[in-house]
Amino acid sequence: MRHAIGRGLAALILLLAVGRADAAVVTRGPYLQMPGTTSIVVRWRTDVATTSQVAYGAAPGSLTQSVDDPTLTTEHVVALGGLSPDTTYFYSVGEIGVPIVGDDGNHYLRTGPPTGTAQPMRIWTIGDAGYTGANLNAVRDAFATFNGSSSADLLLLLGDNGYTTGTDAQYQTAVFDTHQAMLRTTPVWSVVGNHEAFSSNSTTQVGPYFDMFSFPTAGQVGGVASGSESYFAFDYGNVHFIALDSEQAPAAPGTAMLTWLEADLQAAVLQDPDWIVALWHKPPYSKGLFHDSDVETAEINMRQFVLPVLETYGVDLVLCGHSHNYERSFLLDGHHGLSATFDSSHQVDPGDGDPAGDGAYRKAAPGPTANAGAVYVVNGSGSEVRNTTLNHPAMVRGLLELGSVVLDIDGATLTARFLTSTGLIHDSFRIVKGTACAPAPASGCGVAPQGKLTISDNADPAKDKWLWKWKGGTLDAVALGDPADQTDLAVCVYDAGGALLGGALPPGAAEWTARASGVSYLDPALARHGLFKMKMKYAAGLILAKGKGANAAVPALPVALPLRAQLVNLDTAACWESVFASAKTNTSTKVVAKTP
Amino acid sequence: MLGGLPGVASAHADAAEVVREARAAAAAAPADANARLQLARAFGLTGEWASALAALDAAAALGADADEVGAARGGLLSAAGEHAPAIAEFDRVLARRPDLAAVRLARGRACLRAGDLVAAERDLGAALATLPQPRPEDILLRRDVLLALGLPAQALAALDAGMLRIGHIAALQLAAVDLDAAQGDSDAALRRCDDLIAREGRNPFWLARRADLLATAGRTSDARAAYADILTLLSHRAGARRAGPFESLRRRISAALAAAPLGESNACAMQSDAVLPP
Repeated sequence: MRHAIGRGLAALILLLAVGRADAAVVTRGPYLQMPGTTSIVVRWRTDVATTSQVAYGAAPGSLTQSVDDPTLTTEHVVALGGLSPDTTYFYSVGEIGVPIVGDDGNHYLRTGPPTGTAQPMRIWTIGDAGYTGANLNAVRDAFATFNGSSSADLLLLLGDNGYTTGTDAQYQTAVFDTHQAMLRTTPVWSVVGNHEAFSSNSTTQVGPYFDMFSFPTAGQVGGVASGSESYFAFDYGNVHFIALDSEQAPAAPGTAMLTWLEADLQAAVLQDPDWIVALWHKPPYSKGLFHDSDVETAEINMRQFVLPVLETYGVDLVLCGHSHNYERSFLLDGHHGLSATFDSSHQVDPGDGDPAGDGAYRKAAPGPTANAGAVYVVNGSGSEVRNTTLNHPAMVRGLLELGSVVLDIDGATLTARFLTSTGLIHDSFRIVKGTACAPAPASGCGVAPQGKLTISDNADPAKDKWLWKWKGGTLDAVALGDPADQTDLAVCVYDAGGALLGGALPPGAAEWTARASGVSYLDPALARHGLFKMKMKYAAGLILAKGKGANAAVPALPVALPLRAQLVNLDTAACWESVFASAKTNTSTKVVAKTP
Repeated sequence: MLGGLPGVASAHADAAEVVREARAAAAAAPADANARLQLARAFGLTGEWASALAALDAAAALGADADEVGAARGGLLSAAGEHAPAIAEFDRVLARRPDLAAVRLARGRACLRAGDLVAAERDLGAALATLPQPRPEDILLRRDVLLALGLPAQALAALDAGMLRIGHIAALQLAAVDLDAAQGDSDAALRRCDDLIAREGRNPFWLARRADLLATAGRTSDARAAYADILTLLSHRAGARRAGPFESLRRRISAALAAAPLGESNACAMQSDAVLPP
């Protein structure tokens, strides 16, 4: 029921009907769940049973809309729908017509950005944070300080959120009291941990964990319907999230969870999100105290049966908890055995992925790509650290420190930081997608009789520029594809030493324009590789690319001949190129090459 | 919680911690029946069956709800592999409280472990009909039991009943497609494919399953058109071109379409990557 007016009258009628005029007290929440682009669930608990109302609007004092539920309850679950995407609403909760808390600057919610939209987001993830007290408070406060005054977009709880048995009372103190300020503005998601499984049963989906959280069983916020609250998927912006149950749902080929997982990933890949992030409790790789992934059955099962599915559909990041420490892997693929079988062949990138270290991990295509590698994080030191030797060979880092993981996703860049309880960043890694030229030029490309390449390196990088022209060859519209829709294109310049300039460009970006005569790209902001302009004309057989400014990252000149400039359809490997065996000019400031 | 143990954890270090806490709580409140129940469950996590049963006896002596104690005892015995005593315990509880669906589900599982498929199916069916939110795994378990009993039509009906409870989710609908196809009812299987695609979108693997069914039904031209549609769909999806399974699917369809007309005696493919039958 939604009312824009008349709430006061409704309240009076209901108060008379109930026969009680004293205000109830909110003893839990409010907290936000299942954020969609146009919907969200608001929950709270009261000390006595009341009706439910969420009033909301564009500003405090102007809550012009409401959703009511006349059912008397202490566990209030109100779904708001028909909201605008990516919009902030202030709200209050209470009985019908009697707000109890909210309608102020501290109670607001934000709907998700349109699915697929590459909007910057910050996600706070915390694992095994179920011990209340100084440790947990320090981890929480470190994030609050790090994050500043804005709200995180999402909170991901990685299980074991209330020690020791996940009872309602333990959750009250460890989750709802500890994180009260955050929960009223940041939607929370969770996965079930082994300590939740002591008191809640996913066999029957009853118990405090399932009672206090609302999870999507029917694909309400993206993803394929799972029919289960212990595993599900959701979309947020340009990220597809998958939450799995490593505790009580069988994880083997042909089981319900694996069948659903594959169907969900297939659907996700067709949507082509920029990122796929999976989360569950028990990690596939860990040497945590008591929680050795070579020994624990659930960890082995997740590694053997779940990882191959995730890998083949291009998952980028896996977040787990369970071990009370922090561990973070290389960019990995294909390691499904015991730790002793790990070797360099499983490292898609042997570097540390740290922007300040070996550099970010890079994936050539912008969307999910089979077996392009994933990073695995054990984020289980949210409230306790257990001393041990962290020596799993898949891991880049192993830290025995209290902390949490801050995940920032901005378009094609994902950055994760381990934030200690003292506010220090003790690990950082980054994955950049769709921006890198392949290490070596493509082969079998179409050529044109005319070609020109110029590169200028100035003392002021803002004045750097480059140009490539390919003219008179055959440029077929079907082979080129439609980058204004879903085709991934890359323009790259190579010398004998490797890639020099350019990179991949995101399909569907506003900079693309597709016409019957050809395709063009115009970006005065020079945001991607400094690329300013591209033109592809079918009838003229023309490819023109111009880049300039510091983002062009013009390398030190002269170059090592030969030069190759290429346009590549990353989806089909069709390509077009100019090859320059010699150059008219090849100095420290300028390169000019032409064919014929 | 009625219905036995809420999951026996393999992490014994964690379970030992739970036992320590439960011992402390029971010691602090020696007259608290609930504390003894919690202690019994904690012992169950570490496999200390005798201690667990003793704690249950203590809980009963302190006035704990008899049904709760009985259900917990049945769960412990079942977890300990003592199936017959577990079933007897569940019997006593259900004789008093036939409405306890979770206990009925637990008894069904115990009967299954004891090898009594008929009793297991009976309990699973009754429990799944009344549990507030049955899970897909248990619906598939009931299907398996019915198939093991040689009752494919009933297995199919069990899947349909499950879908009425929790929705037409892919894991159940695909299982039903397989069963329909295995029984030679291509039309019914096609309807299920159409339903799934309408609900969840044009998944190329489901479209391929549908095309297989058309081929099986002898609708060769429809099948060819359906396969061609899949190729078109795949060619327009950038993500599909980067995911190995989709590429495998595309290659198989392309090769088969190029090689020869489709036959008319094709069984529905059971694997997601097997598009065209031999």
